[in-house]
Amino acid sequence: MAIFAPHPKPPEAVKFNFSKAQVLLVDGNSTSLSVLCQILSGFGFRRFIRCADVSKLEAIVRTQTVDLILIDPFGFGPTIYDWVYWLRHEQLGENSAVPVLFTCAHSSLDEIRRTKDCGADYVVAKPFSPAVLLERILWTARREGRGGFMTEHQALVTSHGSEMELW
Amino acid sequence: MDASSQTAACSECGLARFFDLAGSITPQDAVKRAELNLAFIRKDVMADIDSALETIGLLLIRCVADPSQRPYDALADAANTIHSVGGTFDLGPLGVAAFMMRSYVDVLHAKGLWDGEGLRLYLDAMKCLRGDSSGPECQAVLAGLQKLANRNLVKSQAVSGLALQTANSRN
Repeated sequence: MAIFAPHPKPPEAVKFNFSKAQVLLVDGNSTSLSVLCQILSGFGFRRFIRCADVSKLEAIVRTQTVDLILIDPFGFGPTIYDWVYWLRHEQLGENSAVPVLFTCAHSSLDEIRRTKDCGADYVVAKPFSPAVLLERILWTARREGRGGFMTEHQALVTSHGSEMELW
Repeated sequence: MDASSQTAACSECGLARFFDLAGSITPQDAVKRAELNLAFIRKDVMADIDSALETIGLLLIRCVADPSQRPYDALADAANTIHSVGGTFDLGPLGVAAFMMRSYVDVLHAKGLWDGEGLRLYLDAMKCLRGDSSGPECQAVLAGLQKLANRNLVKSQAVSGLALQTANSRN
């Protein structure tokens, strides 16, 4: 039986200034990364760490404070999920609890389950609109602890921009 | 730290501490600014999409010249580029076609099969959709691509099976 996550309500009357926030972007596609940076810049983010090499991620989070992580797992294989799992369990202070959003253009059920199991917060399907991405970022920032439930496979990431909340 | 304290701490860590600071903007303003930024880079993104289409074309031409080549990863990468950003720039049907092509490449790769003719049709359809992604014919094109994938995969499996039977009978 399908279980669908209710559409999260956007935070009411929230205002934000993300100019001091640091975002870690993990994406091997330069076009996609460029688009993402422009969207996030519009939201007010100014500090980006761009990384296309999973082997460098550990050093980044050990030495810098990160406030948001956006990952497109395409091309990285299972190591990216292993890294997120490590991040959640490594006792890195606030970095271990940072919101992690996966942005996927194409995901199998197995990949979605791995995303859930590794400790990510949300999967947003590409292509996404700025409004959808911002809504997810704000919702993830406002949530109290991690909660939610997984959708059925038919409602999973498609080419039409669906998304799901992960627990 | 007990659960309630931890929950309270989580709600104030990370991005939440950037709420309601001096110079804050509303979500509506943030989205407008983001959309303006996207308009600024639209031309470059279109060039990247066209480059990805050209890459797919070159890869398929090379496969005709050298049938041993099966550039699954390169094709998937190029299709992924188109799909990742197409819908964000009003090329939704093109993005969907690229998604279908990438899915087809993944299936061929997983089964060790190749279908140059079918992939060429995907490319030709994507080129048409690149020119015009707004008309009602687009949905018919996409539906046709899906039928093509289903039919060609069955045909490829049959050909592959026949080749295996022939090889086994000779042995």
